[in-house]
Amino acid sequence: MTSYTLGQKYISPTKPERGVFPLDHEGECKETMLKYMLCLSRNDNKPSLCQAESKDYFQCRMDRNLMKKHEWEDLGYSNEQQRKT
Amino acid sequence: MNLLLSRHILRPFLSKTFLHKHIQPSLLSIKQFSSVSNNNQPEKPPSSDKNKFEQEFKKFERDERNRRINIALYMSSMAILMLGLTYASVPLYKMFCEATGFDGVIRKSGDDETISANIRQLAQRTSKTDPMIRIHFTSTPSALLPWTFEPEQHEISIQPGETALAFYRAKNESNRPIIGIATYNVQPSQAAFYFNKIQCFCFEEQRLEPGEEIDMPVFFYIDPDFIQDPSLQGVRDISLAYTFFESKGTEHLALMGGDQSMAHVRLKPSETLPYAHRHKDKILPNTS
Repeated sequence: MTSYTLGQKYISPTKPERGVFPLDHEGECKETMLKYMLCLSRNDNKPSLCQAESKDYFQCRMDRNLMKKHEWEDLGYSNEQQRKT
Repeated sequence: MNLLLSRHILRPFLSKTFLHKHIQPSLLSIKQFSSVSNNNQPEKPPSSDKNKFEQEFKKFERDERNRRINIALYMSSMAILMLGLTYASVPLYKMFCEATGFDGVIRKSGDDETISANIRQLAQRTSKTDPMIRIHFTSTPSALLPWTFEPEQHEISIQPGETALAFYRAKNESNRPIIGIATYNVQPSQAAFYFNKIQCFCFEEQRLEPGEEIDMPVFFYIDPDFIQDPSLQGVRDISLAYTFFESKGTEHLALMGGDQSMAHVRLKPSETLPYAHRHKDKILPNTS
């Protein structure tokens, strides 16, 4: 979907930098996803307070080859932020 | 460069084409010549002067003519150069936009190393005093697509520079496998430039079996430069809207009532339009 607003320049959507997440057809990481969602609803929808759960989800994906393996820093989890949670 | 162009390319070409032209001494040129020569030289005896006068006049005439031709050639080569620049500006502008990401044009994201380096630098660029931005999630499945497609969370609050994970859920409600493609939209449109998606589920075909339900994650961050943008002062809400369409590959199945025995049929683009069945051409099973 592209937006045309009066008098503004047309900005087209960009492709995701690391490409597409392969689909989790077997629902292997659904549990971790639900835990993350619960954490979000408990913490006022702030992902910064749910870093452990989101890390679990990425770990689940990486283990099952649903995602390329990255270091935690590459996914934006620095040690400083870890101390915050 | 213009002189080069005019002297070596245009001039021989034009002199060959206009060789038939005879230059007659015009009254104006004679007057110019006499005024010039009178200013330079004192009075001389008229007898020997005549030949010298003719020679000098011819020389002057040639110089004038050369001068005029040179000016004309210079001007025409300028015009041709400008025309060439106009044509060249299209790819040049494209290159410039891709390099600088000016005005929201697609930035050529580098390989994985540069992306990882960018994300690592994010922590240094964010500060704790950055305001929290609320990201709202909405979804629209297309009218022809029998999927339920909802965001798992209505909004999340993050700081710019923080990576965030969000989920959408899609379920194929029909009784045939469907291939869908998602695209997205960010509002306000100026914020789209700062919205960096690391990974998501858009722009690629996603196939769902009948009755299958799937969680689709979106992993993104907002560039910390978002705060310094003057046109985005005070903006604290960003809306992310995803839309799912059916992929062109299986769209024709929807038009044929989901009849899977027709799956091998390949339709012409005009036949996939709505109300195609009202057109005169019949849809034959073995057309390609």
